[in-house]
Amino acid sequence: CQVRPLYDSEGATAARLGSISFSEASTRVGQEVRNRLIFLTSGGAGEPATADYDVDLKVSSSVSKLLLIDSSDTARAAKVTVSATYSITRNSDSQILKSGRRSAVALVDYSIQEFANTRAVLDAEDRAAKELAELVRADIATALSR
Amino acid sequence: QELKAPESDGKLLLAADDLVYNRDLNKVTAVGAVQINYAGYKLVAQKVEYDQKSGRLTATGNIELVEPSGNRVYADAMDVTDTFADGFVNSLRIETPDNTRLVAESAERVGDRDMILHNGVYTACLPCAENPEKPPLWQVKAQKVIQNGETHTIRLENARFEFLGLPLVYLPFIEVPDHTVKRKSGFLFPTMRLNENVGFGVTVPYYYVISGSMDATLSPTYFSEQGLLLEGEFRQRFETGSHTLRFAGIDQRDPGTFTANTSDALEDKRGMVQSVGAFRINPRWTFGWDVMLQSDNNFSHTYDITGANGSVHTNTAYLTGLGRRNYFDLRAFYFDVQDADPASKREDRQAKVFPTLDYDYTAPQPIAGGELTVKTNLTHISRTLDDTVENGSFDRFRGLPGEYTRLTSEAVWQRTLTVPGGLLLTPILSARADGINVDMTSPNAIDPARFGYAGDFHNNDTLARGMVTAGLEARYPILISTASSSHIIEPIGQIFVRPDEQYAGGLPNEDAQSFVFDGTNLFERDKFSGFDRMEGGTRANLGIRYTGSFDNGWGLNGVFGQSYHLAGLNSFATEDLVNAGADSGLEEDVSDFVTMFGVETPFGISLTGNMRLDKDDFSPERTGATLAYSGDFLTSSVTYTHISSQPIYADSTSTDEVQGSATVAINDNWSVFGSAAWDMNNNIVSKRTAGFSYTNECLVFTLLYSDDRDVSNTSGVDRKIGARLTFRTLGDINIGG
Amino acid sequence: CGRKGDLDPPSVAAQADTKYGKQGATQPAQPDKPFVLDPLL
Repeated sequence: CQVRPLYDSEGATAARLGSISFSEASTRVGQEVRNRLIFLTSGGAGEPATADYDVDLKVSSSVSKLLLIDSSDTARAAKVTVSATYSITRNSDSQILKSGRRSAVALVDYSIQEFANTRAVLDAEDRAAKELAELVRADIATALSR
Repeated sequence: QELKAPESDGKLLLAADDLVYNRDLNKVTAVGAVQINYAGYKLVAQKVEYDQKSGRLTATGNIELVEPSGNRVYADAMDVTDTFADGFVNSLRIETPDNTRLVAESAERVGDRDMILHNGVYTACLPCAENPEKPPLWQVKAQKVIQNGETHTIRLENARFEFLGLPLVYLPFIEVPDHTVKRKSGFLFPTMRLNENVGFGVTVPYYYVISGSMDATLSPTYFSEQGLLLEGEFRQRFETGSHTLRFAGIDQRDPGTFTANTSDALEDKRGMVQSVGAFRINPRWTFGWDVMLQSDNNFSHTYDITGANGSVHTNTAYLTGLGRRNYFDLRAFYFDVQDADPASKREDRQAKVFPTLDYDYTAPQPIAGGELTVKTNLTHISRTLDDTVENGSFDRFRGLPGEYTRLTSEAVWQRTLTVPGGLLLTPILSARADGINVDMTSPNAIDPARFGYAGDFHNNDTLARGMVTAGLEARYPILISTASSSHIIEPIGQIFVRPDEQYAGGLPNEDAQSFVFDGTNLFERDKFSGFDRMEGGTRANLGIRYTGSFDNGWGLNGVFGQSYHLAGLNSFATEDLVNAGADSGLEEDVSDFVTMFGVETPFGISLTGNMRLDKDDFSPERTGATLAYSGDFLTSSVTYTHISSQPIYADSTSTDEVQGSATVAINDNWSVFGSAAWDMNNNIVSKRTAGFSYTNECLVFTLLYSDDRDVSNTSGVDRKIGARLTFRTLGDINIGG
Repeated sequence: CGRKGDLDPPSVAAQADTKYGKQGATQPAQPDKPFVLDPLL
């Protein structure tokens, strides 16, 4: 097996990672994953004008209530799951390098204050989206480093 | 041989094994594999006589006629005009494109459009494969059947509905839409439900098509205990969106069945009206609303009114914009809590939010090589009744009465530099400013005898606060690749240098009440879940992320780490109106350990887990784990949740719960489903649902049972049984995909 | 018996002349109208 820094100087991983175009998002959470992926792969340079690779992302998120209080029909906690199926295509020969599925879960506390619950879910969606972006970026990096 | 008549001028094309001309009678007889194509009709038969003078066609011997509408007619004998417009057919069977069948002894073709059948049988079921003689699951026998091509209906007169071969219902007539019809006025199939305190109810909806883009549905339900409930829905579709108006009303016959002096027991005439709109201005902007008004605070929940039956109905109005990288959302909320409390206190304790504005902006071009994002939030809430929880010397003030407004804007600049050798350094700079106006009852003024708050609360004040952060993140991702797998191990270190949080615990906390320290906020610059609190002080986060992927489809991932408060005020150890941060694992200089992990397998099993482990003895302070499987026959998931005692922040006793749900497809007709939540500490099973469904090509039957252990009677109905039986094409509903 | 189905936008409904609407009526692509807050996105 081979062990080396992902961004070692001879490797072209960094250059390839900077030349990716991500499919546009249709939901807020999908946009959060996309924006974070753009930063993680470009280091702040933003979206490249022309891209050697296309990543198609389908992001979905769901909330499920936990710790159901039987005396008052409410829940004391919840979890937010953000998942994505992705496929990485090299534009030069439109070859699919890798496709897969990743998901991330963020935990939340609930109270009877519905506004607080709503904002807590928004924050948990952002957290889970950022973590999901880390996992997808790692998969992209391994695919492009081959 | 063929008698080729040029198709173009609409004449008839006839082909057969052999043709016999009879010149003087001007008659043609075709025998053997006769094929006729004319004006979209295709006829196949053994023998056809074609009298060109009278234009009559008589065909015999396993005839198959395909009409332009797609109907296929199989018959023994047929005597029609050569335009197929009029004529007679004997012992025929019609199969329509949407897989329904009409069988009759004889039929009459009229006006190139209708077919009138005598002693016909209509069904949407396939004949039983083993022995076709057995009657299908259901069928409708009628003396006369009119297949009308103009109104696109099949009308069965003197009809008898048979189920499993048994005659059940006699109907003077029954009119069924044919396959070309998307919407048709008429009765839809009844549904049944048996709900506690409300009784057994049968709903018989009537659907009325007003136009291609407007319709109305009236659904009366007669309940054995409470009498007649009337539900109505008026839908309208516009070019850019749609609007739905709903209303419902009942004059309860026996309110006494409900628990004494609950909202349901104290009301007779009850009702609701609801308007829901959703419009799209252009591909990026949408706006809409969902507003429901009702006579008391539990009507729509108790009577399960579609679209408004939640234990909390969120009335909202919104304008949302989603661009390529930016997001805008302007929204208002009114939380309508539906419970059995006549005084509806829980609703008055809710925050009424008008508006909350979120605007997330990302600069399109890099600035000094880095990414600039600006997040702006405006929140204005008002509340009439306090929401306070007695908790020894750490009372919790989840909602203060009064008005509260906050405008926050936070800019973040970050850039990743790759140091030769593979080290990634990411400097992060951020600046934030808040403008706040507080006009609320101070926590110590609510009920000084019962509730006390140690924090220095600022009231009747307009003030500003800010935060600046200088941070640095260092990562060193290592790639380990073997022949069939690749792994990235990435140690991560962060340091954030900041001044102390201003007015910590001195201002209302409305949107940052929830605080869970887990793997997803270990590396967050501001770990609070909302803008009402700001993380200050100097803090370092250390951890490691592992991501592995295997060629055979397995995927692993994990994060593990700890956080250190280095200097300044630890924002998670200060007072807070809801004690956010207390018992969180971050309140001491060295935090608990947090970890999260995930396993994805190629055969449908996935596992995710989040855990917080005590920093001294590694004991689990919080655990959330879900094992899920989705396959062809079984879709199920089991979730275990554990929270150790958090006496200041939440519950002083630790809680454990297992939630499970499963849907099993036994075969392609039967499927069974169920779910339950098991409170392990008190050994109680609550929130149970169970049910089954049978579906085939002509019938759908589902039965659903649900109950929740409502010990303190907060909801009017705890046990519900719903049944739904639909015979395809006899009044079915097909909405959505 | 009736049949309840999704509604068509008025332009599609008008196109399909019969009261019951044709099956294959196509959905018109929505024109990209500018909106006053577009510069924010």
